[in-house]
Amino acid sequence: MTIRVTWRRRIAVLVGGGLGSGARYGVSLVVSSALVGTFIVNAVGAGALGYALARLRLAGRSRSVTVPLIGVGFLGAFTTFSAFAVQLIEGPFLRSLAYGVASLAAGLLAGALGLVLGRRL
Amino acid sequence: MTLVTVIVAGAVGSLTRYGVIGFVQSRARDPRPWGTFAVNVTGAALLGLVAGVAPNGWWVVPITAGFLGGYTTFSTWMVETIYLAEGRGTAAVRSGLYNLVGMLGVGVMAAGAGYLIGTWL
Repeated sequence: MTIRVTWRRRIAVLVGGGLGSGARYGVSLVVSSALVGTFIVNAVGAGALGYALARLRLAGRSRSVTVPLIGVGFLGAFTTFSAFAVQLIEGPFLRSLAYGVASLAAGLLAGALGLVLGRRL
Repeated sequence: MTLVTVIVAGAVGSLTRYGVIGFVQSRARDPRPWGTFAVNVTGAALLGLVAGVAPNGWWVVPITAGFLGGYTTFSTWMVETIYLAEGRGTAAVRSGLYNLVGMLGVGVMAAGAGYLIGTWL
């Protein structure tokens, strides 16, 4: 994936990433369990990214500023790997095992579903 | 107020991710997503470090939920794994599986290593 980085795209990532991070923080304030909150943003974000990338590619928008804004910026920042990894090492083994397997299964399923829907619609 | 600092730090973290992924990917001479691997592993190590130190202060949430949340990404990992596995034959499925298990294993180890270093500091 060799897409030329321009200042317009950097600003799009900055704006989208700020909003995505804010939205993720908002979810963490509403959902009382940190584990459940991370699970929700990661699964929803993976599904939305699959859908968005499929749609934007079909629409021929891959070279515009929309992928950096929505894909790289908002949905990239809305989900988080760092919190996921640290939550895995903090918990008791069986809880981490269940949380890890559930997160990967939900993320892959949502991402694949998003891609399929985005390509079909 | 915390929300504003998370948005600003998340924007900077996302732009950093965009820069690091572009840098690593342009140097990797390999279509596999080494850029995402680089940000997620380093981000997990840094969040582990912060969790190990367990500092107090107004800047902790902007750094953890903001910068490192925006810097790392779960959604990109999921969609890139699906893209890899979608290729032809069992080699594609294998490379998707490597991307999934490799990122998980190395990311968790990085978080653990960061955490241990943090508790020693």
